[in-house]
Amino acid sequence: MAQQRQGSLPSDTTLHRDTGFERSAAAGTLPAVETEQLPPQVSSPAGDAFRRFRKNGAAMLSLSVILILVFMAAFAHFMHTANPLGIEYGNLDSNPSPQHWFGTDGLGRDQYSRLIYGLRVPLIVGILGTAVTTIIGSLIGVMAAYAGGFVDTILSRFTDLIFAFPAFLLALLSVSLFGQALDPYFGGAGRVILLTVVFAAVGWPFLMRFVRSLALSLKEQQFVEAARTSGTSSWRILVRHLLPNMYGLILVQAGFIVVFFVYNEAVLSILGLGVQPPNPDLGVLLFNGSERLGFNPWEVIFPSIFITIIILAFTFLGDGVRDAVDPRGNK
Amino acid sequence: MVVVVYLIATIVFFLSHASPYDPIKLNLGQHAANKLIYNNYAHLFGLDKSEWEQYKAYMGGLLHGNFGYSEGTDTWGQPVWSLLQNGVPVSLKLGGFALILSLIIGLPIGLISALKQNTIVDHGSQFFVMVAYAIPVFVLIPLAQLLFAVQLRWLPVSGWGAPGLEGYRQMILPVTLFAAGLAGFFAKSFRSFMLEVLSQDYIRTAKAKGLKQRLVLYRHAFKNTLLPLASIVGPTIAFLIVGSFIVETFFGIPGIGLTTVDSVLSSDYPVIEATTLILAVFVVFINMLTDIFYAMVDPRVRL
Repeated sequence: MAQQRQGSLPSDTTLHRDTGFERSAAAGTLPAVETEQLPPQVSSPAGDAFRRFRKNGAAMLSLSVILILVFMAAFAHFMHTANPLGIEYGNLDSNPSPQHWFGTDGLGRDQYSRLIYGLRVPLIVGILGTAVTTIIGSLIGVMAAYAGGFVDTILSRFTDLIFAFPAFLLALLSVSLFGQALDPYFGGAGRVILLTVVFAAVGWPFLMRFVRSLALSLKEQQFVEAARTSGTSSWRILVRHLLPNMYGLILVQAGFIVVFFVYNEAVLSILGLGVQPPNPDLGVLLFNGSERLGFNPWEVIFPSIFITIIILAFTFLGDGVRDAVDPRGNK
Repeated sequence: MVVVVYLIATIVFFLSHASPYDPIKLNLGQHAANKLIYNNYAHLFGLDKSEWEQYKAYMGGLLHGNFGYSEGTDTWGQPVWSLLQNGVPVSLKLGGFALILSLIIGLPIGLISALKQNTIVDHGSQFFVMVAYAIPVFVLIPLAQLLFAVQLRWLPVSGWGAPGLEGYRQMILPVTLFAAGLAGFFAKSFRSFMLEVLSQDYIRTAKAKGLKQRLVLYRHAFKNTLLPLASIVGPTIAFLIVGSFIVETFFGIPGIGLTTVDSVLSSDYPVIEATTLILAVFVVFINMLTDIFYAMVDPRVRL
């Protein structure tokens, strides 16, 4: 991996520079040599990647769009113009107007307010689910690679099994079997929690394989050997030495996982397994709109635009992170 | 492979039996209060036996190709297999046509943009590919229905399997929209595989020794993109399965996806179990074929 710090230090000090943890311990013994030979501005891989990322217009734009959407969803309470569940029988299937920015649906509910509340579900499921699944996948992967032998075999076979099971089907099965039972809890949010947990539970096998193969090559490198020789505990080697060298590449994979989760959450909603009516959700809004195509096309157009923006933004963000972390990849 | 299928069947069985509902109560409604009816019903479906007995019966049935009997309200007591046997060919037909169409569109686009890298052709097709790939199919479908069926009235909004010419007209929208995302994915992947291969030394050697462009492409470049192409089979299959659920639901196509959705909505567990199992076996089977294909293309790979 080219992710270790570069430098032209004599080989005996490489140990202290690569590991970070030992460096602070060693700093007392070798201060003069260390500072003298360091270039004035040390460029770290993370810093380089961040600089490249900032130059990528599409990725920065996507990041801002996502932040704005997250902000809108989080503070939907202050941003809505009408009660998202409020029914107005005098105003069914209306076109966009100053009162109802995006028009109303078949029950006269304000589409704009429903949309910004509906943003919450895909964003929560996508971002939270990805965070959990990334942590699970990385930890299992790095543990399997580092422990090797029997543990590796067990963990890898288990991953193969989950991997062979199509993730979407497992999610579909779980949500259809347990969805209704969880609906009454947490004020209707039980379904959202279930979706998040289910996606987190099925999303990690690919990441586990990826992290495992990275860790297998990393653990043979000298800085790990050095850490082990100096008596660092296994857990510490995993968390402080192996994982930090993979953050960038893991982040890239996480970007793709978010897109996958947002997409599949919308699919489940469309199939009627997502958030239950009358609560708003992007996928549900889209499907309801598609059933009223003949009356009012706006009902399908606005949710379509929002879902597309979310998915495009996360896709470009993922591509931007990939280009920043691995500039050699063919563009 | 047999082991994986067996384990998947086991997971499906125990997952559905861990569900907090009583399928009997769900179906009988108010009659469930009557002990006699309840017990008769339970006995009929073998639900009064122990979990282990049910598991053995289920597995035994699977070995004989018996997926159990439907517990849905409309299809009560019908063998699950009879519900599925019509859907499987429909789904295969829809997915197969979409796959072929996407390959016909996607691969040439990927090839051309790789050969004309960083020209206006490349950027144009990259933009098209990005749109096709990133706009989800469930967004494209209602918009296309709105445009081509509701506004222009060129094609029917939904339906499947009408006799004669109408049947083909019904197929145009679902197959094209299904193929759009896949075509984008193929074009995107094939472009990067091609660029990877074209930058290799042996391609430069082939060009340097004066081979024609066409020969360089066919003899040297294409064959070496086969291996990475096999690596995108997995995502393709996943896309086909998820896509079949969406396309069939939106267009009302009576395939296995729509059957699953209907059975989910009516809590018909035996049918859900069966469709999940069939699709999972399909995926495992394709993965096995991919491994065999790997070994055939690359002699270094041992099965």
